[in-house]
Amino acid sequence: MSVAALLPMPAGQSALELRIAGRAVIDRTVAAILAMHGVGRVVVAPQHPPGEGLRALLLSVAPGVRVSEAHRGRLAALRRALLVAGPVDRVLVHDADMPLMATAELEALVGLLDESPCAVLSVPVKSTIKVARDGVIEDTLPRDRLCYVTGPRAFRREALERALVEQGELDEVSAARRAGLPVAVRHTSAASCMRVTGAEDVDVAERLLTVVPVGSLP
Amino acid sequence: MGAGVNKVLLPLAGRPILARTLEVFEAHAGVGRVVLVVAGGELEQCQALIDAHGLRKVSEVVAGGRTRHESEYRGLCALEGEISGGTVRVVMVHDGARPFVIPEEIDRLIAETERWGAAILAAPADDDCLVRLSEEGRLEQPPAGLWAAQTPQSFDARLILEAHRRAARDGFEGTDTASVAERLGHRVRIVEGSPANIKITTAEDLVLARALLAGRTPTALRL
Repeated sequence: MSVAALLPMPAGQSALELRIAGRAVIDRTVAAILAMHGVGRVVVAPQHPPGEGLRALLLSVAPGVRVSEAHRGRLAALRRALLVAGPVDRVLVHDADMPLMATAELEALVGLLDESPCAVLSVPVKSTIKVARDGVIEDTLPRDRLCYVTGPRAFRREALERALVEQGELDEVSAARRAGLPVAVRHTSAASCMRVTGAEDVDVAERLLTVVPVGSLP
Repeated sequence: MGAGVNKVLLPLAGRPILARTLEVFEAHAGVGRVVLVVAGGELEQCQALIDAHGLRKVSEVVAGGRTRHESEYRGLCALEGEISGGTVRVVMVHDGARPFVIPEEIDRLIAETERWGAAILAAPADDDCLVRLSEEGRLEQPPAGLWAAQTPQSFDARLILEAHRRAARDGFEGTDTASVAERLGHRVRIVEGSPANIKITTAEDLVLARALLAGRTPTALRL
């Protein structure tokens, strides 16, 4: 079994250079991926050409990382990156701004592909969710069936290829849903899926590193 | 999160979370009294906390039930006489683990409750990432107009006491207080609350709470 990891990268990713407890965000994300069993190639899928600083940082943290040609739109960028990834069986799609995601979680996610063509990590909903119209509650939804699909996702290669040809979708999971592909779900913690998008997140991320068993449920 | 310790008793920047929460209501002119419902084994500890922080509006500390729903009902029953007599007209149910509710939100809840009979704080939850799992395990788009319920949840006192009595008769357990009123057809209004009104239930929530106290709004609040 061979696995490639694709890192979608929208414009304005300067936060990837921020340091969390001494290591750049992108360094932590890539290191967690490279520690996975079976991962061969990591391809960054930029939607705009990364700046020189980020490109240099990428190459310094992991010399084997490839940067595919920039392409506008997440799905288009992923299509391009998949070509660069070469002939692999499974593909992990992991946003680069999630430096707290643990290797074990990523491996468990990819493991779900034994049973399903697509798999996602999700965060359970803690709040009671109401449906309201014009400021009045109309319904209370069963919480145990709701989740936030915000973390990494994994695909058998042919499933991702099928999803990526869907038109009009903004991300690969909704594209997979539209393509009628079943999606397996594994819950993880909100901390694991924390995005570092600005300097205001650094302190929180550093504290989470010390007090939370990142990658496990709270 | 602190083995064996009720999370609301943990310190947040030097003061217990519960004390911080109670202080918001202590300082609010529209709140006359507070009934604190706690686990049976924590009555003395909570009373000591109330005394130590000079929380004079806490008139009673009541032993809770096996579930949140049961605990709520016990708290309401402690007010039964005043509710029937009309001296308590509005009841707000709040989580001790939400210390970041602000006075303006309480003001708006009281006003909406006096006008409509029931209102809750809630934050918008329409989010492309929020999905529903079907019985077959497929991901589905939930309906639009979603709100994440928070507390306080505020009610005409007689309305919610009667709704809880009927829930007890029918064996109904609500996931929140509003659902107890909703099942009887009462219209419950939404008052938009801040995403910062978090419920501190995990170690990561405590980290977020410290950031909020320091005046920061981390991206992680999104979830």
